[in-house]
Amino acid sequence: MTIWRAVWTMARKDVAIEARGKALYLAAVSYGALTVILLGFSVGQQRGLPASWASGTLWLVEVLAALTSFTRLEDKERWDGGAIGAMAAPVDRSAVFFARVLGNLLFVYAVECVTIPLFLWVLGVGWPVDGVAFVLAVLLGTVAFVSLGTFLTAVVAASSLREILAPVLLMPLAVPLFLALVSLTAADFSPPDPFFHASVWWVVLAGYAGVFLVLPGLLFEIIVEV
Amino acid sequence: MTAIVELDGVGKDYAERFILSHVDFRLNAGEIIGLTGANGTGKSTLLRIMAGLSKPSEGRVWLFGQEPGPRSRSRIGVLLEAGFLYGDLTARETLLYYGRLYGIKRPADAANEWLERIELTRDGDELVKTFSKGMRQRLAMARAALHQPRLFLLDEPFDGLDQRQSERLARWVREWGEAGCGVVLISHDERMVASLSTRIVRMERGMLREVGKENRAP
Repeated sequence: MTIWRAVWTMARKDVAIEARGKALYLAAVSYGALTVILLGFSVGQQRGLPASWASGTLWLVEVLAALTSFTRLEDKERWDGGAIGAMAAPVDRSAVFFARVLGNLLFVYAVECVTIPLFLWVLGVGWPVDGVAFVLAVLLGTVAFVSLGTFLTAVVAASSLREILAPVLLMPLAVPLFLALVSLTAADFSPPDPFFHASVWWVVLAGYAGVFLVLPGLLFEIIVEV
Repeated sequence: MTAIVELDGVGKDYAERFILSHVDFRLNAGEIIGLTGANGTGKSTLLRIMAGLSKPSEGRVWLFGQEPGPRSRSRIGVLLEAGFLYGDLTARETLLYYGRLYGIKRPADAANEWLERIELTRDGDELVKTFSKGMRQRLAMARAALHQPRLFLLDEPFDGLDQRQSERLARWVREWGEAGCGVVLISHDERMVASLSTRIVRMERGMLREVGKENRAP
């Protein structure tokens, strides 16, 4: 079986499980929506947040909502040793990592489909000036963030403190990624600035997505084997 | 004759505490080996190493004459304490999932056949989390045997099964041995181990201390 067929088989199983329960999806969406509404109350009558504030709070909402997905998938895999079942199968073990990334990615994208339009509407931020660049930043940024989060969750999976350790390890490692995301999305909410060098931040974003997608795939077998 | 499993000086330690020490072991085609020993003597760790789920700290492992890898894993059916099941999948979906993962040509047919063999056809579309322990154990057994492995690694396979189901599983184990498969069986049911095994091996403090006489010709 090819690695991508195995990835698809495992990810399809994750989607089937999530589609059946929907509890965690609804929880993540509700959590994101509540954060947006609370932010709306904080801003009050002052509709139309400055671009830098808007992009920062947008990623704050998305990151908090996404964090629920990492431990969610890990817990389902641990219920009766399902994760070990995949490791015992005749597939490259990096497929297990890529399948988890794909499962988490689909989950987080589905959450973002609801929370981002809600954020733009409730906080009166308005639609991005450069919609294509905004969507690309969200797609690529989510890949980078989810790959990193999935990898760290696998690293701390055996610990009883995994629900705390994963976000604690994730935050410092993801600082350059968040700087890139906030800068790029802030630029999308502002009029064009000739002094803003977006290419630097695009390189950081692409670098994160590439490194944390490929490197854990190579290291996964060593990390999960005891 | 190439052994199905060959361990040469295998050792395993966690955090400077040894679990296995200098284990030499050979399993030939048609052999059913009963692996006995008290709790915590390293039986399950040995099984995990044979399944390619854990790497030894020292020594070498050969499965079907090769180093452990995806190719050898395709010929192993493993049942550990966990059944490798998902509570939010149905029994049929579970077998379909593993059938696809093991590259079975007609996973739906294989799933139906095994659901019938383990008498879960009527419950095939129920979620696994609603199953009793015995039903889960039967499903886990079907999951392990679905891809027609040549090596069965079974850790307490009779747990949760009633007498009739235990006897049926014992019959399958004998049939697998007669068909030239290798079986390593861990069970606290010493009577069952004695009746099924062609050879009995005892683990004591991470070492293979005692090799019983052959019960019957493989």
